[in-house]
Amino acid sequence: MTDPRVATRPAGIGLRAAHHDAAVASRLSVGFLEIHAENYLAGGPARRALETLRRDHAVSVHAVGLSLGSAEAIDAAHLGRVAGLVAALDPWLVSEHLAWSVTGGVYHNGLLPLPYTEEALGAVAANVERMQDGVGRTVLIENPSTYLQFAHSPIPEPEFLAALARRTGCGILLDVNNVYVSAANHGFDPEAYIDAIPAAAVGEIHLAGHHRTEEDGVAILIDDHGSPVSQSVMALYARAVRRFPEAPTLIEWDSNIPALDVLVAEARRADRARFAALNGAGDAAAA
Amino acid sequence: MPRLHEIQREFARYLLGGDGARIAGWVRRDRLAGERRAQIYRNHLRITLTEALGATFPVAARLVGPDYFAAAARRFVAAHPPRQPVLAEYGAEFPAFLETLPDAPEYLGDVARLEWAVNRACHAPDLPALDAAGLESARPAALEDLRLLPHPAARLLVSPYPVHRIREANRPEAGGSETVDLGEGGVALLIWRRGAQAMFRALTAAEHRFTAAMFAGAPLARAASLALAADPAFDLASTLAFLLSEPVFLAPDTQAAEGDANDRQHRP
Repeated sequence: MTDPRVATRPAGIGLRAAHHDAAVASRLSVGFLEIHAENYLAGGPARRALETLRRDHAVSVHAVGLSLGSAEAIDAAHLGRVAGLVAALDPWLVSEHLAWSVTGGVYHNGLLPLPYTEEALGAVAANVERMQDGVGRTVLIENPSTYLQFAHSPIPEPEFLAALARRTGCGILLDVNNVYVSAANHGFDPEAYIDAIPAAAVGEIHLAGHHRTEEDGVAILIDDHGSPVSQSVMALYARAVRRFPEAPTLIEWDSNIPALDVLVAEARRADRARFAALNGAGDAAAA
Repeated sequence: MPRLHEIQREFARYLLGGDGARIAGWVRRDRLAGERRAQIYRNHLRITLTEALGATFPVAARLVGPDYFAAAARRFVAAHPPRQPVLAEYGAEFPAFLETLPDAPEYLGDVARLEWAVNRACHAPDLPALDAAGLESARPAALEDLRLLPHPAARLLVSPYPVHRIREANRPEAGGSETVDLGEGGVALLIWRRGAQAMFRALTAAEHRFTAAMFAGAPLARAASLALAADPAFDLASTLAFLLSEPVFLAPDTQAAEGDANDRQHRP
């Protein structure tokens, strides 16, 4: 189910505190700005900069700490703060992750992996419904990058996301870099993964950089959002754009954060790749 | 296969320093051992929370050096893991924790307390402050009965060490050549935010008594008499003029509506 307000727009960028001053001072030309909800809950100068930018830009609120994958119910106090931010900003999109970080009331900073079982599906669906009730709208749920899979995980991840969308009415935020990273780390086919995602559910696409490391001689890709989008991910993006042509694209950059104009140039690069993919030049772009 | 909550409890125990044997047994077998895969998550947790503490306490980190700080952060995270996901609000217990460490400088805890106060000032909500004109137009019935609430960005810090001078000399952007004489003695600081910038000022003993009493909700006459008891030369007019020239107290129209809630939320 696509959010009816989602329309084709140029690529957006993830807004980080390092860019507040430059973004407020310049007349930024990007499709939209996406923020991490947890960085703007307290108020103060960060919140003021965001509210200034909100006047001229569509904003997407991307929450990272609700822990929808927790076996326990999500923290009502934190959900209340996120809902307050959503009410204040009236954002274009609201999203979270298919992951967990909280157990026993402790927040384990990170996006931790889930076994894809019927039990987990029930727990995540209940928490997605709590989130949607709290913020008063449907949300998009992002596929994670993962470094381990559980031995007992009978439901393939795209099917798990599709079932979640069917049960809760949520949409899917397809992170193409995460698909690529997880596919490399676990040895599955990233193209088949994208083909298995229900097209009508995808409301946003994420792109970011990753890096390669080695653990005990085994190559592992780390999703660090610290570099330009790789050529391989751009090739996979062309396939995603052809399958989900209406979903807007976002560039994320969270470590080694470059100057704002580099980030904007990366969004333009995604726009060009998108145009090429939708106008028959996708194979050339992928080469 | 264990239930989801058991997997999550066990994973969490491993992340905070426990052994990974059970987790490894639940991970799909392939070329890389299960515990090595789980370790990627544990390393991420340690690195990002150490970075978050380093961002909030940069001077404490500089005073002890990166290796000592990373080891301290790791022990702190295991003892006091975050209870909520806003990392700018993580670390309230870190100053007291630093004081329990062996070989740490005696002033380290108070320097960290100043950094925590600066952090809270930077992230406090943007509420209107009381200035002289606002006080005049609010027309309090009797000035001696005036009670005010502190702005959520404003707070006081008392230390037996010159922590403000230690912080200034050791800020990441400072050259590091300046030295601070601990014999300078202690300080009472008022910390607040001007625009986006955290500010502080060393108060006299009498100014501190007055401001602390006002922050605690005492009527102005009571606060002034406490200050005069500390120093008969206390100048109420100039102290009040200064406190109204910066965003230190909440404006009257927000005092009733937001004062209590913000006081609870931002003064852990």
